[in-house]
Amino acid sequence: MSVRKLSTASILTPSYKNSKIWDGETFPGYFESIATVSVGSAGAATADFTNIPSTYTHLQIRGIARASTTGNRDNLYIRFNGDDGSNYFWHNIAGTGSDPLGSENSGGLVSYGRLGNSVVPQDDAGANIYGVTVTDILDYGNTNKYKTVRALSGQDQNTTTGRLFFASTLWQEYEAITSISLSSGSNFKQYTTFALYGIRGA
Amino acid sequence: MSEVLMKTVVDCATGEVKSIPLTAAEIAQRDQDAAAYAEQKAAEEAAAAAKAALKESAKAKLVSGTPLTEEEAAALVL
Repeated sequence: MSVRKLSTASILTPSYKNSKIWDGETFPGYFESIATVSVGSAGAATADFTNIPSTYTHLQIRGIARASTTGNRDNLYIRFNGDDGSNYFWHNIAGTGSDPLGSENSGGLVSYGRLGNSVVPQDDAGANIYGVTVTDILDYGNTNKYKTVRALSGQDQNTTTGRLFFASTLWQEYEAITSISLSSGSNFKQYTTFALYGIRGA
Repeated sequence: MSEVLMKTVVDCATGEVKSIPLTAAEIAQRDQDAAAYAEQKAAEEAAAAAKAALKESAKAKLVSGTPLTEEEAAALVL
């Protein structure tokens, strides 16, 4: 059935015919999937989003990742608009099961942001274990201020090498974010997936 | 034959997904990232081990009634 007319009354006091149009609570479109990158069997050095639309207020990335090579665990880096200049600053708190470990790029601005240190399990970590991140990129289209990112990330390996991370990144650029590149120190493995969402409204 | 490093790129406007070889500059950046992380990881692990050793030493001194160094006291106080 096509919708020919939709009034406020038909939403608030729906008849049988239009009762399936709106459940009275959900606001579709306020949190929308933009695109997803899934790494195939060949692996990938980076996972990139390009041509990000400017129609949202905030962005969110939800990702799972595992990397090749050895060393147990690797970083998860983020860069914007292809910028690999020294325009980023990051802080990180790692929960280890004992004392928390804090870190920052104490030497000054660096060429990458971080979504947590040691987020990405590598080939010699427990089999089939992936790290996760939920990352918010706030006010990404505002050209009057620098961009800020906060991430809640982690990985657990049923050993003491598991970590929980709460991280922030500052990108000291005014331009609107139109592309995002995610990487670790080695290739992402198959089934690594990053999904980009747009959030509307204030 | 050396491995060709690729990146997976999704165009959010079209949904098109491409696999593109890394440029020489991107490969160099990736090597820098890996080196920086190795250095930072080693530093963090060394700091964590040093802090744990200080705490153990401080605890032992507290139990035996021996005066603590300033570093040991700091390790026990947040």
